[in-house]
Formats: sequence, structure tokens, C-alpha cells
Amino acid sequence: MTATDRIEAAKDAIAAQGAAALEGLEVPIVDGGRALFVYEGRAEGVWLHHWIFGLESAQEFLRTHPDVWTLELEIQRTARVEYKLEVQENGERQLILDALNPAVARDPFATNSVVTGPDYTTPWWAVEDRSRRQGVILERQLQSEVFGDVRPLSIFLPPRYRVTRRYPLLVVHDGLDYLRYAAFKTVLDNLIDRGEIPPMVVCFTQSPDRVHEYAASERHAEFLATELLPLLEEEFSLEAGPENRALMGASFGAVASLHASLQHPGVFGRLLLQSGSFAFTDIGDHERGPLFDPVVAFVNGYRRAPVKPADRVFLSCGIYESLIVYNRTLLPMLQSLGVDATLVEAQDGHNWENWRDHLRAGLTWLFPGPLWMVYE
Amino acid sequence: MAPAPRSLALLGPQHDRPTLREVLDRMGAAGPYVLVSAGWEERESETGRLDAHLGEAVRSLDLWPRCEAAFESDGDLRQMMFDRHDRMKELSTLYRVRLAAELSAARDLMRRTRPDVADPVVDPSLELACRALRELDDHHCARVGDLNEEVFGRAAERESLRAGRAEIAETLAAAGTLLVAGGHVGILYNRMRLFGVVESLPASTPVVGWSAGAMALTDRILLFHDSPPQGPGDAEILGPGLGLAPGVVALPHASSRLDLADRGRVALLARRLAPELVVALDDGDSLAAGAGRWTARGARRLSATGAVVDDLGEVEA
Repeated sequence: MTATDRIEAAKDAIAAQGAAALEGLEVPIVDGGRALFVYEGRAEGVWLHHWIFGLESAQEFLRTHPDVWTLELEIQRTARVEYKLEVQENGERQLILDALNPAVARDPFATNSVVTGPDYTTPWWAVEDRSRRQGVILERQLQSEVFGDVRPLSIFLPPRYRVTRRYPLLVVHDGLDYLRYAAFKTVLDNLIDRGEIPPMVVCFTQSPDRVHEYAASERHAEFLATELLPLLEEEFSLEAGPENRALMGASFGAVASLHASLQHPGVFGRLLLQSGSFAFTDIGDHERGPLFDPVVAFVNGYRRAPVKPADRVFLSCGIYESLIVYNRTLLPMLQSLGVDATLVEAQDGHNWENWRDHLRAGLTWLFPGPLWMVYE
Repeated sequence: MAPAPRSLALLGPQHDRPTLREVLDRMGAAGPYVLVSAGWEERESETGRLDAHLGEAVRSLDLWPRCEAAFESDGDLRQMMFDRHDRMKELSTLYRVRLAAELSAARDLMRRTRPDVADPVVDPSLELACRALRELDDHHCARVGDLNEEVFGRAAERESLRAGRAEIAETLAAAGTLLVAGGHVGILYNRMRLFGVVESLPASTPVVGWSAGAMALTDRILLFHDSPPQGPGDAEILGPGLGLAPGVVALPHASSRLDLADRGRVALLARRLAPELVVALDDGDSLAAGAGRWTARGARRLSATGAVVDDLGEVEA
């Protein structure tokens, strides 16, 4: 039976038998570039909400049986789409998870249901493998004069860390979220063990006020360059020079990374920027709300007078994000400045699993490992 | 090809399924076991697992700390090795310019035919492309070889290495078997050259190398990975090996580093490296030389038809 036949057969069976037809089925039914979503329950209307830029956000289900609703959508073979169902009952609407779909993705704000195309798989570098050597994470507190408070730091040391060697440094914005939602430690353990990246020290930072501190804030840049870096260099065995220091982040964290590298030239020579919120306005005002004002001012200024921020820059962005436009614009600008830059586009949205799935490409772009030379 | 003058074995990785003990027993290769593990770099002395597996303590040649000490005390030697490193980078940059083009042409031709079927139209062109690759590999290997002879020849005269070389020669003279562990193949080769391990090894002493250790013992060291995270994955010659296992190209971790199901890629690698025996050495695999022939246990040959086969063909050891 072809995929489309399967979806048609499921729809026919649901029309004939109702919820009983769902027995044993994995829902949504995905194959052949189509997905059939199903909602079972009393409702006056059901919609699927996703966050794919350029498409109607709310897709309406059809009532296939008195208590079963279905929606058939196209899905790309390697795509990953997060969604919620909006159900109206007694005149009230609420957003809920898809109860028939066990696949969910979490982020700091919510949990979403997930549907993936038939060729999408969770990448091996994001799957924990206890047979690989494991790094450790140390907790530290940094008394910040810049911010006037104490900043918690989680610091990853690679397996077999030794003070007799020197290591590259990566500083991660929204670091605790990256650890929790993007399996960052697992990714590091896997890539280091395979020799795809060198053993490195990774400092995971977290801001209590990211929408301001990460929005092209001079204080934040000063914090990174004059407080965080000296502290790390004092306690850990780090290689000197900008080519051995990287900043990274997603969304506003990417803005903070680019901004800090420009504020303190020659300090951080590698950037990993995921779904960067590099919004700009060539004509008129932006419509992204006041939190974006300093970001837009920064990006507009940078576009007027661009300078090389780092020697190597890795960009990634989902094509279902409105931010893809800004990231595509940034790439040729960086390349024209002599930056060794690349952009990887994903069939995914503005979410942690998208960022997780591109950590391998990004980290190996910044710091290629001894893969070619090591045969243990 | 002359028969190998000593009993010798090349092994796959020993981390998960160590077979070293049984290989040594089969060879009749007795202790004392002297170990080179400079490929482990600063972990060279961590031999506990190996000792436990063998049931006796190995004696390490300590090439890593000896070399670090020599670099510390002898700035000229250190600079000599830095300069060699820089020249190697230059040579490999030049090599890769042509390698990318030649490999692209050969792959394009391979896509127009099947490696396991004679094709009178494409085959002559493909053979020319493979010959161009062989000549390029040979040329690069020879240039690196010249550089090595010049640099390691001068290094051998350094006072900072003299005592170490003498101690190592003494240890090797009394060794029952030399073991060469895996790790960083470039560092392993360099340290063995700096301390003259092969020159000091008695002609009859058995040798067993695994992973990078197996690669270093061959004529030519091939670096390989079909799907690296960046770049095209073009297998390339690092340079000459130590030449104790002539006629073999050792591919440890072949199943994870190479796409062995891609017949075109397998065939191209085998043809490019012909007439050498191109051998996949995965966990538990071994290839032993004795009485002028190779004997494989698990080790498989990459063939010109693109198959990965158990029989080793007619290659002498």
C-alpha cells in the first residue's frame, strides 16, 4: 500500500468506524511527504498551530466522524515541525498538546508536539552513549562588578583534562538551556570522543535578563571580555589567542555573541550563531516590538559600517523562521569582509532541537578535531 | 617481494574487544613486551588496561616524555620539528589541490560504469585516472619521505636525543616482542623516528601493531574518512610509514570510517592503492605475516571490484 493510500485508507476507516480505527496507528500518520493529524474528542472546531514563517499559522481540521477530526498536510522528508492543537469547546479555545502523539519537544517556555518527515532522525551526536569517555561539568560563581551580582557558570572540562595541556575555549549564551534542551554535554562527549572536535573547555553562561543583556548590550560584552574570560584563563589551562576562543548563542544569544566580538576586537576569533535575531530595517520601522529596538539599531549600524568580527563564523537558521532572511543577508556580508563563513539552513523552526541538530556542523567548523590523524 | 624477516601482525582497535593476547600466543611472540604508545600522547604511561589484558606488565619506551624533555632542553631540535611541521603543511596543501581534482575525475568516471563489470568504453579512461592518482600519491609520499630523511637524519645527531636513543636500543635488544599501540599516527611515527626505534630493533624481534600502530608499521600511511563533518573526505597519503609491513595499507576502524557498502568508493580506493593489499582492520581483526604470506583473521581486503572480501588474493608478505 502506498503512503498516500495508507493515509486515504486511514481517513476512510476513521469515517466509517470513528476512534476505533485509530487502534494501533502511530499518529500523525507520516509517509511520502504527507502527514495526517488526528484529534479525538468533542469539539466545535480544531486547528493546528505551527510557527512556520510564510504559512497560515492556524490550519483547520475537518470533522471526519462525530468525535474525530483530521487534517492532512504536506511535510518535507527531512523536516521537523513543532505544533500544538487549538480546540474549541463550549465557545472557548485552548492550545493543547496532541494527545495521540507521544513525541514532544521542550523549551524554557513550553512543550510542543513534534512531527517529523520520514527521513528525519535524531542525529547520533545528540544520543548519549555511555561507552564513550565523558567530560565533567563544574559549577562556579562569578561575582560580577559589571552587573553587580553573582553569575552562575557551568564549566565543561573534557575527558582527561590536564593542566599540562592547553585547550580552546567556547562560551555559550543561554548555556543552561543548551545543556537542558539541546543535549550539549552529550554532543561534546560524542564529538570529542570521535575526534571531530578537539578536547575543549566550554563555559555555559545564563543571563537572568537575556532580553536586555543579550540585546547588543555593552555591559554584557564588557562582562564577557573583562570578567568572564580572565576568570576562566586564571583557573583553567586555555590556549591564548582569538583563534582559540569562541562565542556562541541562539536567537538573542547570537546577537550578543556577534556584538561582543565587535566590541572587543581580537579577543574572540570564532563565532557560532544559531537563528540569530539579526533584524534590520532598510526602510521604515520594524514590527518586532520594543525589545528589538537595540538589536535593530545595532544591526543597522553594523550594516552601514561592517567590520570583520572574527576569522571564522558559522551560521545556522531554520527556513521556517522569519529570521532566515536576516541570516541569509549576513552571510555574503561576512564573506566580503574576509570571514571564513558558512550558513546551514534547516527544515526546522526556531527551537532547541534545530540548534542541537546543527551543533556538529557548527563546532567542527569552529574547531576541527584531530579526526584525520587519530586511530585509537 | 622478499619475505618478511620477522614475525609480525597488524591488528584492529583493541579498545572494546582486545585480541592482542591471543594473537601473541598464536604467533608464539613471548615477552618481555616492550611498548610504544606515543600515539596516546600524554597518556602514554597509562598502560593498566593493557597490562591486565596481557597478564603481565609491559615496558614502555616512554617516547612521549623523552621527546618532551628533549624539546624542552634543545630549542634547535624543537625548531627543526616546527619547521618540518610547517613544510608538511605546505606539501599537503599542494598535494590536496591536485588530489581533489584527480579524485573528482576518477569518481565521475566511476559513476559512469560499474566496478564489478568489464566496461570497454569507460575502463581505459578510469585506469588512466587511477594511474594519475597513484602517481600523485607516489610523488607526495616521495617528497615527504625526502623531508623526513633530511630532518630525522639531522635530529639523530642531536645530543639531546643521544642518551634516550641509547637506552631505547638497549631495551629493544632485550625485548621479546615490540608492541605499537594506536592513537595519533603522525605523532607516533615522528617519535619512533626521532628515537630510531626501527633501526635499533633486532631483525628477529616480533612486532605487533594495532590501529595507528598498524598504520605506522606499513610502507605508506593513508589517512581516511568517508564522511568527515567538514570537507569532502578525500583519503590522502600522510607520508611513508616505517616499512616493517611492506605491501599493505592498513585501514583500522574501516567499518565506521569508510562507507564499505559503496562499491564505487571501495573499488576506487583499492585501484588507487594497487598493487598494495588494502585491508580493513575492525575490532577483533588481525593480519599476520609469517613464512612469506599473510594470514587474515577477520581482516578483509578491499577489492578492485568494490567488494570487501575475506580472501587476501595473491599478495606475498
